Amino acid sequence: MRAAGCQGERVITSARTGACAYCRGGFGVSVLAALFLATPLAAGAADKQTVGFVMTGWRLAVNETEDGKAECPAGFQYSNLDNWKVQYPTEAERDKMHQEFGFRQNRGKDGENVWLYPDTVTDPLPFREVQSKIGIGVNLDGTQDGAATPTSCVHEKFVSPEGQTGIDNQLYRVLGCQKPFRRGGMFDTRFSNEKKVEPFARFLIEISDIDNLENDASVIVTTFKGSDKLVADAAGNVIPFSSQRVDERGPQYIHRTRGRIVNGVLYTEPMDILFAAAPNGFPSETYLQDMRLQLKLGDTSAQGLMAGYHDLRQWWKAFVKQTMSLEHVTQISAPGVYQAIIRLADGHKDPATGQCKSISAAYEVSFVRAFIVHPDMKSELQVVAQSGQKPLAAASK
Amino acid sequence: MNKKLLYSGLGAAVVLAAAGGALWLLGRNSEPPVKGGPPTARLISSEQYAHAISYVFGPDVKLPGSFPPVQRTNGLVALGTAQAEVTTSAAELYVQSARSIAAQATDPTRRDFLMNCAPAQPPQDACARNVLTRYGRLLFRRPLTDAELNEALGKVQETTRVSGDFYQGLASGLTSFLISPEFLFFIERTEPDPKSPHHVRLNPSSMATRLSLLLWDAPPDEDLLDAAEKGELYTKHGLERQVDRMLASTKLEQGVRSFLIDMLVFEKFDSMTKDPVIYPAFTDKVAVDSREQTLRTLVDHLVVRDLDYRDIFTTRRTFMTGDLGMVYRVPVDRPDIWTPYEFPADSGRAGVLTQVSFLALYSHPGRSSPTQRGRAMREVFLCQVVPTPPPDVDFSKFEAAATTATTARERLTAHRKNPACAGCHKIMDPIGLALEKFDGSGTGRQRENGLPIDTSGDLDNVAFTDAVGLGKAMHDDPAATKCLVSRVFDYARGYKASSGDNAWLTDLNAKFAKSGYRLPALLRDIATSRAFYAVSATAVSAPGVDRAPAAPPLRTASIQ
Repeated sequence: MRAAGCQGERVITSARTGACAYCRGGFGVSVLAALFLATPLAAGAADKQTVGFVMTGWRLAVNETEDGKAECPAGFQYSNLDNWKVQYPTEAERDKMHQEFGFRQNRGKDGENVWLYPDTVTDPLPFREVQSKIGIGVNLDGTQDGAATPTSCVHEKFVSPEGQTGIDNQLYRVLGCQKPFRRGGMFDTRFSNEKKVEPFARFLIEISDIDNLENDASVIVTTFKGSDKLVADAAGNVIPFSSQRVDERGPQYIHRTRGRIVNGVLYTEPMDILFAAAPNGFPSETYLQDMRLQLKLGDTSAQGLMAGYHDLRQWWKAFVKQTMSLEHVTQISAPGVYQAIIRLADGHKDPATGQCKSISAAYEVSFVRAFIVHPDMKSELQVVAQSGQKPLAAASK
Repeated sequence: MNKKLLYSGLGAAVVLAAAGGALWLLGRNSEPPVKGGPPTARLISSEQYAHAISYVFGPDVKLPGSFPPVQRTNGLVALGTAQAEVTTSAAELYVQSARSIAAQATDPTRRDFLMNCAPAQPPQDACARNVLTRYGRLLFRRPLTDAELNEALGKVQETTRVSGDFYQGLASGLTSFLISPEFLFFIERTEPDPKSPHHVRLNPSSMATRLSLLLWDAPPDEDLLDAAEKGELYTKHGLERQVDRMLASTKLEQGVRSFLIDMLVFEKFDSMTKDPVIYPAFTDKVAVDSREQTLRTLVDHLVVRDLDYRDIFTTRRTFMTGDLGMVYRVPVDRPDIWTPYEFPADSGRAGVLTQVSFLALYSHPGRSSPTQRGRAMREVFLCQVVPTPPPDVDFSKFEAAATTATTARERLTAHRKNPACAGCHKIMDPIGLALEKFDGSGTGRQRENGLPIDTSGDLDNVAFTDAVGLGKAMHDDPAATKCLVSRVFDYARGYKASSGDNAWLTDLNAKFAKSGYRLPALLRDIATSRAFYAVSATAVSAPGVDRAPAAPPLRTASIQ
């Protein structure tokens, strides 16, 4: 076994080789280097540092004013119940619908469940998407105006609250006027708690090949799925420096990219990642393409953004799983959301049809320092090598 | 040949032959004399109670709870048990516990384990007599007298008659044993010593009990009682066979754990608190784990590996859990279970003094305390007594200093400048300050309020620069091993050694050194010695009649 994120004191004996790996100093000497000896990355890596983090919370990056008037001037989103009432305006029609199709969700043209068949009906009430120019996120397509490119569709850009232009976050445009996704809303709360209470959704990152934690032109960033518990203090805050084992059953969740640290902020290069999630207690997976992190690194924690593109098909599947059984409390209307994500999709344009197949998104994420414990580094490297990811060696310093 | 030389040679041959014929006797006789203390009556501890019930009725029998703590006396709780009484409230706990245990032992799921007869077939009295004879002997640690057996049988019959249930009757009989002073107190009895007409010796069952409490912290098992009742403990071979059997048993770890809990004053964990704002990682689980970590470390070192006692101050080998790892800030391979762990050489940690249990236990709720740590080192590991502060100390002076001082060293300088405080603080603070690179929860740190921490000092003129150096100084301090020897000897006998024991303790210390400071060897030397079993009571006037100290009164009416 080996562990990363060592601070000060540690000897670990490798279960595989019997060799010892050492960490020392403020943030620890990289043990990754010792195990990378067979790879070009190892060259000159003897004194590198490695630090680990475990995610403690994530929420859709929703820029919201107190009363919501600025971003949702017409009000918040209509619910499934609201649309159902309009769709069946009289008591007689409603009774008939109940007798024929049962639940309110089954308001498709022929009684289809509109979560499972969202294109069988168009919501009679208008879909209220975000109208504000202010949004939180990252410039994902590289344009300032959101004009179409060979890989993206035309879309409107946001300006960040700090004034940064060119921000992409179309999922905010879709969900920003949905109460459950706003601060304190049901999904917002459950997304935040998920990382604390669901070991299934444990998300780990490891930053290695570090020369300097304040400024470093090139570091390696790897994501893992963990499975260990988090421990909270009396105030409910997650305690840092727990040991988090990489879940050996989840090689598909191991992803690696390069990054840089500028004035204590980590910026990663885009990579496609799959990670486990369970926002409402329903285990699912989230696929984020061209994902990049912007994290302010602290001694015991890190905060910032995780942004990328959600594949529409995969995102919709997860959304249905998480919301369908909660229709009566979530105030969501599935047909409106479904049609909005197709209409506002801005990434991964299909050259044949011109339709974009993904939608930009950004999440506010928080981490605390942790020791990432690796059961078997060899298999881990093989997984990365076999995954067809970008050859990091070619991009080494 | 010179006649004188011939006679000398013959004389030597005679002496050698005699010695060879009775080597053990000579060996025991060669022990420095000890006066021995009076027979004791020690109250059973919660741990001993649990060990007894587990052995007699099975480990799955649940105990309702623990019993009130006993006052620590002369450095050990074990010595306090010889002066303990049972209050009314405690007696009620014993009664509740006894009823619960007896009910569990006789419930349908456990009857077959308990019974070796068929009660459904008359006469039931024979079956009850059979069960009570066996379990009464185990609980009283000696054969029952006819009067005791008949009294218990009477309870069985009466309860069976009233309830119509034989097993309720049997539970009633067992309950009467479990609330008896004969079970709740280890009452030592003497008998005339046939080898010394004017002296007495412990009777066989008292000897077996003293031995079993030392090695296992539990009452004697059936093998030991059998051997004792056959008189085997009075012979060299018989005693050594039992001692070696018990030392080889896994119960030795249980016995050593109990001694360590007592020696390390671990009942302090019951009242320890930490400020959750200052030390958020120090959870209740960490407190429990830190206690267990030290016990595991020491039992592994002293018993499993049978290593030098002095190395407990320098070893980097320990065990770790995920929760403890957050306080030590080290990664743990298997955070969900106890995992062997070794601190690296440059970690700044070595030995029991740098473990979280010691560092946190001897700190304030919100900051470290070099004074508490220094005092504990002196008292716990060196058996030196540090007086409490004089009653007229003006603490406001030091509190004022604390508001301006940046480091603990600066704060304590004020103490050492005050003549009323200096005497004690000079022996506590320098060694306590060596641990200042660990905060009040035991987490490592390099600075205090922005200033680098100076951990240099000396232990009785042996200089060191840090906590690891302090551990080496403790390792090399002869007072540390002498302290252990005296603690074990006091713990074994239940009373503090007196000046009359000095020669024997000197001899025991020499043997301990010769063994390489191995605890099992020390325990064997004590357990096979004459001094361990010596009693000072004078000969009884009527040979054959046991004498025993009066058991402390059970001050309750409800227990009757």
